[in-house]
Amino acid sequence: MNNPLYENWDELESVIQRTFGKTTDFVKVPIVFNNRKGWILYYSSLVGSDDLSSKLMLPLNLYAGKTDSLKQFRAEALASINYQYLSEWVSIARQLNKNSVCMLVEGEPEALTIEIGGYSERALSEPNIQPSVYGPKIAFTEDIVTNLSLLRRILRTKSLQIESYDISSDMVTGAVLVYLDGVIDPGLLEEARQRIRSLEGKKVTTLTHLMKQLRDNQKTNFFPTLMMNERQDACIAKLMEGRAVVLIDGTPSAIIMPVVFQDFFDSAEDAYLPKAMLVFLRLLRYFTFFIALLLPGIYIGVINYNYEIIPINLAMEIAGLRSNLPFPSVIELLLVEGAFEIMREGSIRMPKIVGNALTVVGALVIGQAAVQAGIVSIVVIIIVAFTGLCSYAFPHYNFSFSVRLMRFAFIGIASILGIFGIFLGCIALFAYLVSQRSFGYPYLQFNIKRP
Amino acid sequence: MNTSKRLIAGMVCMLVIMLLSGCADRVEPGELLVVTAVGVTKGEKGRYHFYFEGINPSEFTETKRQNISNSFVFDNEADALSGAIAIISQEIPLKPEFSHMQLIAIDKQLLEKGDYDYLDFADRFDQIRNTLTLVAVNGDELGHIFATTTPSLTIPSFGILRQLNELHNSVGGNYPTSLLQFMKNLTESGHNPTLPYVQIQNPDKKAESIDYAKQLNKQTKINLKSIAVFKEEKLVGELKNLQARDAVVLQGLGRNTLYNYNCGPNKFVSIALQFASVNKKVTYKQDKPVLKVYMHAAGTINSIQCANYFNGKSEDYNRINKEIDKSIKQDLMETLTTVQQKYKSDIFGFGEALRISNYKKFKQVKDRWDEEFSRAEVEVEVKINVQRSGIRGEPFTNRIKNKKY
Repeated sequence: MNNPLYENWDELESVIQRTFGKTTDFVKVPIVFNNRKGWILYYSSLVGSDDLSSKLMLPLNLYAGKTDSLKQFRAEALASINYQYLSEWVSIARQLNKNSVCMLVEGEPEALTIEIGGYSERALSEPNIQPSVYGPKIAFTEDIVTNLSLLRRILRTKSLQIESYDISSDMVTGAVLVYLDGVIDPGLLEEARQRIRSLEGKKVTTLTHLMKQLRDNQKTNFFPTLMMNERQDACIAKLMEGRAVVLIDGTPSAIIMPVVFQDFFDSAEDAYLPKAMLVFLRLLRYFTFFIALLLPGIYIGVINYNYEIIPINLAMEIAGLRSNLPFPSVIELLLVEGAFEIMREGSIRMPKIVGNALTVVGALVIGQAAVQAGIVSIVVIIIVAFTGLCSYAFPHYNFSFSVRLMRFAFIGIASILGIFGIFLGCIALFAYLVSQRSFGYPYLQFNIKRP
Repeated sequence: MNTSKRLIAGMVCMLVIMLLSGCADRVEPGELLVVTAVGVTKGEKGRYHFYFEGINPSEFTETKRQNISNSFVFDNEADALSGAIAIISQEIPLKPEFSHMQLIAIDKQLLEKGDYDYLDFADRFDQIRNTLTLVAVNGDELGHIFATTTPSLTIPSFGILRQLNELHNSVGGNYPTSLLQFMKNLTESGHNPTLPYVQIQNPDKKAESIDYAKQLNKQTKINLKSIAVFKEEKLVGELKNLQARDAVVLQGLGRNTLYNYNCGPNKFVSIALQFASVNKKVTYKQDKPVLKVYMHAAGTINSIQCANYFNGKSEDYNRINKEIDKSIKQDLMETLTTVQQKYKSDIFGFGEALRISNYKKFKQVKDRWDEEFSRAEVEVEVKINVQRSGIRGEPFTNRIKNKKY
């Protein structure tokens, strides 16, 4: 079929050297297996020494002398551990990269790889991006097995199906497709499988890569058509609605697909709220969406072109505040918006110890000083601050990215065309949203139904 | 290649939009002169003398206040309003802005002549709203009216408007006629226009200063208790005080008002009316028109000055209902006949009612409707339903007379 692992035991060492290179974390240990020579190969960065000694070395000491072959040894001493017999260096390398240890024994044509693992992992922690008051205080971690366990601990049913895919160029990074059999639409399932399978051989190591490849519309991505979620209860709720969840090794979030526009307005918290409150919050979020998207644009349009629609007392107030200012309203608004975005970005990147101080001080200093110095008017500060607050009201962080960006587009068009421009922009945005699809589901529909 | 072409196309599109769009219309609110009121009188050099009330907007802010007056009056003479606006631009380095104009005050003399040539601009100009209020004034008082502040409302035109609206809402004493309504009545037969007539009592130079707000005894007042009556398009006279109120009620424009009647010598029962509604009907009885007025409203007893007149029983309510009906009927009849005989002008809209109900007849009498109106018979029917007496049934004057303890 193909070449054997080695021609001659003595030249094996140089074969190993050639295959794995000179990386320092690669360990090869010569052993003696029932008076035969052998090698144990592993990456010290992927296999913990405690686990290695307890799971492999101890059984080796106890049983190696009593068994004739590697297969017998595995069956007697390592019965509870995942294993594979491999006869290709490529697949051995792949297994070693998946936390396994490889055993080669003189005279055996195949190598035994057993999964040991045991490198240190982060413990389960509370959700940071999407915290909730009543829901479970568990977020996904970087480890895919832990994440799957989090899902199955709640959905204890045989219809919870998990399909594993080795994607990425070296076929190691693991992606997992989770769905509820019998609930999910077969068409959707087939499409999800196809899209994930099409990634095999491409460079996919993080969730962002994966999302980019899974999207319907590869070119434009003004609004997210896939949802990132770090909450166990949200994923379970979506699974039960018949959607699929994709997890990837190394990212503490899941991708939920398909999602529509309306899904970005409900948070995991909603399941724990009374109905009336839920309706109120939902309406509030739609309201904040329009505020965060349009308010600065409407302000510019009204101030610069449609001054007559402002009630007279407010008009006089604004005229008074805007008098004797150095910049035109648009430049002024962009300055303050820019300062706000910098503040926002700065406070995220700041070390946590000083992080809180920065936002308060920054807001106070920049806002108050700029108004007192007569560089900007206080109306603009109010507009920007309110808009900023509204853009924090979205339950989904990546959705607010889109709103933040589109806001500048609306400021631009309003500064050229006024309120008319805002309407044009809204029409264009609506047309765009209507034309979007998420796994074939129309993006702007209220319930997730396939046409 | 393809992407660069697209980029260029996009940039060209943006450029075209920027060049062809309304960027030129852009205004900066800080550079506007907000004009809130315009007054017109007869001019000497030009055809008209225009008064403008401009706003000092910085006075309305917390941070930029200079403690100067909130508004100021400037005037010039020109042949038309548009010409006057052009002159403003030469005098004041701000862009005049008329979209927040709320008041046009017109000299009585111009109205008496039926001169409306300045109004076409207001009707036509896109910035000017046709919902603004028109008032009639005495030409020589106009400068004072635009410079006299009302307590707590430091812009004169705001003061007049607020006062006018308050008067209309609480007692129906006058009606803030909009430009649109005035033009409608002017251009249609069957309902001659009326305007609120603004007068100033004790005009004083001292009152035309922001320091006047610090004085406790304010003698300079704006008087809004009259209505200017028009015949066709010319102003012919005025109705004062209670007759003005009756005229507003008869036009069907008063919702809340107050009527009194005597219950004893120099003692009154006062009834507040709500939801007043007036229906008018015109019929012909052997070629003589009959004007019918049906008025009904809900009433609340506001005060009773006669002791032992009212005990809170239902027969008392019935008696009050009958008395107030009679009293209102008499008041309305008086006002109607005054207008019929003195001004011979249908300011109430009876012609309009005839046009709606009997268009054929109206067509015949359209051109001489005001004469028909003045010789018409008048029938008034009033039905007031007094149901409430405030939070007290029996008045305390009863208990003074019949002490229980």
